[in-house]
Amino acid sequence: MSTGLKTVLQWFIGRELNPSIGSLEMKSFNEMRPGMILWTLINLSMACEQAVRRSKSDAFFLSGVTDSMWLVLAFQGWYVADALYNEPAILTTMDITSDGFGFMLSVGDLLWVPFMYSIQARYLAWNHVELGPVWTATIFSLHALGYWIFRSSNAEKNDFRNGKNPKNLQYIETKRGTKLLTSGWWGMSRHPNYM
Amino acid sequence: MAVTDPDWWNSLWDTEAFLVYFGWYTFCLIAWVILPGDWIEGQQMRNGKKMKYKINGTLHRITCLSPGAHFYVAFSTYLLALGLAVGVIINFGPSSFTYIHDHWIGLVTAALINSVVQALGWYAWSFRPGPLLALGGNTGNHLYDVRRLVFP
Repeated sequence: MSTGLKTVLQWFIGRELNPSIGSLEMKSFNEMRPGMILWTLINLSMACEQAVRRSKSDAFFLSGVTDSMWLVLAFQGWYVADALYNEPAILTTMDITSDGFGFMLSVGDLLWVPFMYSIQARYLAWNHVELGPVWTATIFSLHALGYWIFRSSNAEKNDFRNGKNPKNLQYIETKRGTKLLTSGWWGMSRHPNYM
Repeated sequence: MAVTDPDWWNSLWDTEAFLVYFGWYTFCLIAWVILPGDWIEGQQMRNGKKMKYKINGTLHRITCLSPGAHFYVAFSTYLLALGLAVGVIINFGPSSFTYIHDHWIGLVTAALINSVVQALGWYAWSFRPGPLLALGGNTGNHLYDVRRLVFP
């Protein structure tokens, strides 16, 4: 590879593992705070815009927002709260343990997450989708089901990795010496935690 | 407007939104400094050391809240930011919090500038003597390195 291309590649993928200002590690900081929290603030601002457009007077926020917007605020606000509450979980991810802090992560953390993930709320600010109670309940239930599968399958995996097996799940030993769960959520699907 | 038109490029820039964005970034930095939290260790690195992170790993208890409540730095930053935003909306109505919607493009430009400048700055700073470098993207195996670029 040419030197120029290699320079651009390294700038993109990142070079230093843990760039820090004093004791502030910038990779984990950027990944969790300025972008993730801004995402929910953008959602809130889009909901306010929708409320303003829907009401002639400056009506109370609650009455001016569609059910579809409430679902977006609830699901995404919850997702961010969950991620921030479980902040140490990112310390074992590939982003933290093996990647440098390059443009790929900086633009992902600071631009892509807040401004792209909030695109649904931005759409709803201008297009006031009314779902009605039946569809609202259906979508909410589907989301709750997915969240439950995500949480309970991750809990099974975390327990198993930490040497615990409270549900007495079945497993097999591979030739490599690792263990694979063959019952519970992990017996049904390869990636149940992606739900 | 077309990309060749200077007005199009000017329309991407919004000085006030730029300042607001970096005000937000500064708010996050100050919250990291002043909000209470615990220090926990990350995974062991190649050099045998572990980074320390001011984070919520072990339970930090704010006793003025209910005795069972555990609040953490990142989470408390979230609560603080949300609390301020919701407070503004309740007190001054939804029209007081449409700023992000109204200045969306200028804010995107500011976040892009932050991303580019941080990537450039940390790249340059990594050439000082001694920092631990990431192996990712530097494995010497071009196929692997490029795969990581295409599927981050």
